[in-house]
Parts: sequence; structure tokens; C-alpha cells
Amino acid sequence: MLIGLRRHKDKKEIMLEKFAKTQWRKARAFLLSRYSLTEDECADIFQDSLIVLWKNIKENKVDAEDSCLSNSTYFLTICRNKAMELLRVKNRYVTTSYEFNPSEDHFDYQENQVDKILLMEDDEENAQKEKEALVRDIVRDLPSPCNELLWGYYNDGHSMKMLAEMYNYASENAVKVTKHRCCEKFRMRYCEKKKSLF
Amino acid sequence: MNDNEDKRLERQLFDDDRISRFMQGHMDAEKETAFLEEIKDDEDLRNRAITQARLVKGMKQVDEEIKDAFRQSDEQAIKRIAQNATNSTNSPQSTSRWLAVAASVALIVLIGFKSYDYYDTISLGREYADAFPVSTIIRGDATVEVESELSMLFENIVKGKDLEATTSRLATLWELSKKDTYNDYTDYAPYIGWNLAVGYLQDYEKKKAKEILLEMSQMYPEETAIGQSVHKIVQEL
Repeated sequence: MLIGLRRHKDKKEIMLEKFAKTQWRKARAFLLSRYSLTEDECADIFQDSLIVLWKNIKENKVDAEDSCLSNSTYFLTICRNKAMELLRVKNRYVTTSYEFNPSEDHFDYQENQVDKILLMEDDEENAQKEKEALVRDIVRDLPSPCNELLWGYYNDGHSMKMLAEMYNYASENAVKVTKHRCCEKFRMRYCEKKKSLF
Repeated sequence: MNDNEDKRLERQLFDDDRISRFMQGHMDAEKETAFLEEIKDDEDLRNRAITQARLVKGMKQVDEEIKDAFRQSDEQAIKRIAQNATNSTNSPQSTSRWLAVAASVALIVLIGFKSYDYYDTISLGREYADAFPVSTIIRGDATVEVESELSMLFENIVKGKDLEATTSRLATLWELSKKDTYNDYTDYAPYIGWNLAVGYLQDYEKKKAKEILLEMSQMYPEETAIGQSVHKIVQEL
């Protein structure tokens, strides 16, 4: 039983470690390019922000403030706010063409609309849970650049413009085409796994 | 891509946009109804819409799992995770730093090994340099020029002097001494070979020294003085 408990804890920590590493890559790139911070300043902001995220989730503040934001978008907003605070304290100013606010630059997906489409799937009721588990397995382990683009678009709700800027694409159209191809790859993988499962 | 493929991609990108707008609730009621009808009749559009809907739903569920993981964690664990992420070996800087350190260590080890081998080889050459004193080798049977040159070359090897030029000349004489036709160097063959090998060792030409010594071990039986010395030095190499 103790071994079982220990294994469960590792899985949870692994998930958080993976989340933290992904967010560090995003936050670091975002803070360095937008606010001209040093590496140490970025690291300090990141570490403080992760504690704030943890506290807010624990105290159910996240859902109260804005239940539409993904963990990543919410976290980047905390990082942004901390960066602004630091700049104010140090009397440094941001000179970007427009002020990026992750919590504003995003689209929300409505659950009821998503469900309307899923109802069209020709499937038996009792296979839904298995299919959902299959999708979760695939999305937890997407390769780059599909990981960044699909999560960025379908979970964080970022615009094509935002994704092009975040991931250094030449244009919004380049993001659209790559995202489209990633969707096709996801669909093929999902269909293959579904066949072997059912 | 040809024109048909371009048009097909353009259509699909347009449909992707419509699927997203539907899921975001950005269509008016009339357009929504028309869109749902279209999905019912168009299998390809339906499959792509379902794919994207599955992505949205699946990612939201994984996001909730991450929230649950946060809820079950304590502050210490989060601090540790945050520190590990920023010190992560996945970051390009840390990876480069570790690679640089590993390369430096490898270089130091390699240099250390090479230094030890260099000293060892040179010392071996010096130890055996006067195994056969020049006075015992040159007997006055050959011409004055040949003996004079051989004395000078063998003395150079004993003193470890002008090794590159000396071994180069001795290599030529070694080949001459092994010829089937008798010549001024035939009788001196074993000592020419020996001094050549020892000269190579002193000049840290270990591979060349080994080749000569292995050749000599085939030519001179172990019962002979030269054979015995060759056998001994080969073992030490």
C-alpha cells in the first residue's frame, strides 16, 4: 500500500514538473523579450509566480477570478504582473509596441458548443470515457511544434498573431498551416489508437 | 503543391476557422444552425470538427488534472519544482555548461593519459638506448664511411640527439640491411633495427617502434642476445 501511495505521488509530481518546465520555457521567453529582464530576474519571477499559482488554486481563487483561463494563461498573467511590479520598483519602463496581457489576449471555448459537435460522433455512450482517456494520453505527450501550437490555440485560446509572436513564426498564416497539419496528425494518431482499443 | 491542393488547403483552413468560431460561440443563431446542418452532411468537415472538439475537451481535462496535482501538493514541493525547472538541464545554457565541463574533464584525462604514456615511452627508449654499446657493434670490417656514419647514428640514439633525422636515415639503412643481396649494412642489420626502434621510442613514435620490434622478433630467435632484448622490450610496451 505504501509503495502504491508512493507511486501515485511520483505521478503527480512528474505532471507538475512537466508543467513547470513547459511554463518556464514560455515565461522565460516572454519575460526576456517583453520586459528586458535578466535571467536571474526571470527565474525569481517564475519561482514566486508558481507559488502564487499554487496558493490561488489551493484557496480556490483561480475559479472564482476567471474560470475560463487555462492554467498556463493564468500563470503567465501572474508572471506579467510580477514583472510589471519589479519594473516599477526599479524605475524601469516597458517600451513594447503594445502591452501584452495574457488574460485579455485569448479566446474561450464554450463547453456546450464543444458538446454539440461531439454529439455528432457516431458512437456508443459507454465508449466516451475510453475515448476521452485516449485523447488525454495523446495530448499529454505531443511532440514539438504541435505541443506548443495545439495547446496554445485550443487550451490557452491564443490568437494566431500571439502564437506567431510567441514561437517566432514568419506570419499568422504559417501558424495556421502548421496548426492545421498538427490537427491532422493528432486525428490520425487518435484513429489508430481507437482502432487498436476498440 | 499544385493548384488543386492549394485550393483544398485554403478551404480546410477556412473550415478550421469556422469550427473554432462555432466552439467559441462567435456565430449568430442562424449561422450556427446552418453550420450544424453542413457538418451532418459533410463527413470530412464533421471529422475535423470532432477532432478539434476532442482536443479542446481533452486539454481542459488535463488542465484540471494539473490543478488537482497542485491542490495535493505542499509549498515545499512547489518551491523545489520551481527551482528545478529554472535550473533544468533541459535549458540550453545548462546543457552547454555541462557539455563544456564534461569536455574539459575528458580533455584533462586524455592529456593526463597521453602525458603518462609519453613519459613512459621515452623512458623505455632511454633505458635501452645503450643496451648494445657502439664500441661492441662497430668492428672495422666495413668501409670507413659506413662505420663512421653508423657510429654517429648510434651515438645520436644513445644521447637522444637529432632523433628525427637519425631515425629517418636509420629507416633507410634498415631497408638496405634486409635486402637479399649482401651489402655494407647486412652484418649491422640487427643493430640498425634495434637503434631505429629505440630511436622511435625516444621520439614518441610508438607505433613505428612496435612495427620494427615485431619484425625483428620474427627475424631473431629469443636465444640470441638481440632476440632476447627485442622480446623484453616488446613485453614492456
